[in-house]
Amino acid sequence: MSGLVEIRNLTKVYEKKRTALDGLNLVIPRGKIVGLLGPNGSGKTTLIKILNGLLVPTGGQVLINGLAPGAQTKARISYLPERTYFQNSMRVKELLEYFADFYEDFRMERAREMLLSLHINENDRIKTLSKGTREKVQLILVMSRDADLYVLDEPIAGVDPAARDYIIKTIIKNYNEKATVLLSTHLISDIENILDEVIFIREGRLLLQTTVEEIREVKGKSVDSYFREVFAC
Amino acid sequence: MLGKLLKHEWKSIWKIPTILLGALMGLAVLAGFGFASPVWDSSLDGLGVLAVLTWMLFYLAVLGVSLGIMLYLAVRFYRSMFTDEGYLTHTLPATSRQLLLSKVLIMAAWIFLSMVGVFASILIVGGMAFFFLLRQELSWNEFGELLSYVWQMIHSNVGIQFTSFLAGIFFMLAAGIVYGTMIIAGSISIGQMVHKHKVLGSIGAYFAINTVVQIVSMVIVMPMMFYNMYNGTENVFAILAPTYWIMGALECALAVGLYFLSEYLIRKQLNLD
Amino acid sequence: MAWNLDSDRPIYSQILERIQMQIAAGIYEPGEKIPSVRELAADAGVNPNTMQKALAELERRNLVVTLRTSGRVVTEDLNMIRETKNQLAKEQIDDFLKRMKALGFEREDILIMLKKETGGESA
Repeated sequence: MSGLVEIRNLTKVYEKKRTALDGLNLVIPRGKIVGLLGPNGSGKTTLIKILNGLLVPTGGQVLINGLAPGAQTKARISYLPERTYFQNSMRVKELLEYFADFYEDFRMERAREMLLSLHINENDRIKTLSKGTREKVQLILVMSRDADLYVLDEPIAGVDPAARDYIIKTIIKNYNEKATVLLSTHLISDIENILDEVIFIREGRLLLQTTVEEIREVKGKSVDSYFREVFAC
Repeated sequence: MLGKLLKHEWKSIWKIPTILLGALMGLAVLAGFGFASPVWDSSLDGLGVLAVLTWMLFYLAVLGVSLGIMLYLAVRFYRSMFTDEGYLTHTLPATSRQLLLSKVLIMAAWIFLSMVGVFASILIVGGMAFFFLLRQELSWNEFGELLSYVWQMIHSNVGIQFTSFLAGIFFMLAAGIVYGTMIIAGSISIGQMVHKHKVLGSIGAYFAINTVVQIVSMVIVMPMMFYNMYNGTENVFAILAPTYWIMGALECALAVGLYFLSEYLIRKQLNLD
Repeated sequence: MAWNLDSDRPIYSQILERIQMQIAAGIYEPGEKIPSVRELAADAGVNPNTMQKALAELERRNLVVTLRTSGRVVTEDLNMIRETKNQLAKEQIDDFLKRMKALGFEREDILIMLKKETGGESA
């Protein structure tokens, strides 16, 4: 079977000729947890935005399930951006209804269970929740979908160790087994144990795509220390 | 999908404008009671001052409420499309067209409702004033006769022109709603292209579009006015009616242009921070 | 994270060793149901596919059996478990001896030291 995501010669040039992606070629397989790794400004977020249809590439092609990003692919991708995207006056309950209405693959029961286990009241308004709780609500919404592709942009950046463990457990427990999880991070050591594969990108190009076990077996190194070696200044 | 989008758009918007219009209605009734005899008669003692205050407040509210609703609609459009909320809006399984249509349709609906609301509030005050002031002098029958007399006065004086004048006004109001919606959505869609200064960009785009439209409409309308005056048309409605039609048509054309421009910008040039 | 895994060795072999150890030590008793792949993976903070592979290997080694009714359980073959336990013990001893030799101790010295440390009388 072909890859879930196929990226051919993908280029994105922002205004003032700033190149974020420079002829990127990549196939992301199905049923894997994949780490998208690269230093700041390597093009991770640009790639993620293009996958989600939030940005139009300058050149090249992206196919998800054989389709260019659009309404149909958005129905099958569950996206956790770095930002919290709530309208603050909404109640948690209204958000659940919103997701259930728009995403056919949203599993209300699963979301309710997770909210309950965190003691989050569905009648609370988003603006009354702490920043950390808002982020958890967003993760719960994203992971309550049975999507084909989960795109998680820096899911553990800036959280304490307990929250990090919660996030990692939530991802593992809830993602649809046949789906792929694409996860960008710069905190590699915290997350490498849950990855099947890693993709290293630098300056908008693919540097390396391999499995975590391959790096550990062949190089005898953690992905984190291998990453430091590859990207050493 | 459009139906769902409309439903949720409505749900996220309706509260504030409803509160504002409700407050305006309340104020209209208060201002109307200012004309009731005990208040009115007591000229400048406490009650009279109070009446004058409510009239002033009502006047300000009429100006403020529709402006406030417009501003609120603009802010909601901007926030849901081009700030962090946009990360959710633009990853819904909908096309850019469905998204934009749902936003502008609800916006247009609210601009319409706020016009109706303002108009109704003025009718309330006017009606109450009319009623309280004339009720002392006239019986119900005389009251009715007076109304029909006023109507006949207008009708016989301006004749057939009046109907077409009214139709022209309605057309221009409708065009105004469409145009009012699209100048908001359009300026914000253009303004978001200015990264880091999206709000300023939007305000700038709004004034730029407005200025161009003013100049263009002046260029079109002025010669007509002069032509009519030169030809000695005395009936003011005969002069105004075609002007309204032309202005309305111009606004509609502009709104359509702004719609397609906005849709293009949202589809191709979106760049959330 | 509950499972402290080394960062420079393959995760697969580490979780394999760890579950094997838990079975040998009786933490998972004979016949006891083993949590689902997903739960174990979430608990360990590892990739579910890797966890799946490790469990499949344990199954191949007959330490774990899949029952149609209750899913994966620890084998009830006590000999099998004892054998595994002895095997693990042997690995520990080999490892220990290797390191002692690296420190320059001979077999005799090691035995004397062991007896002393474990409270036995000196030779």
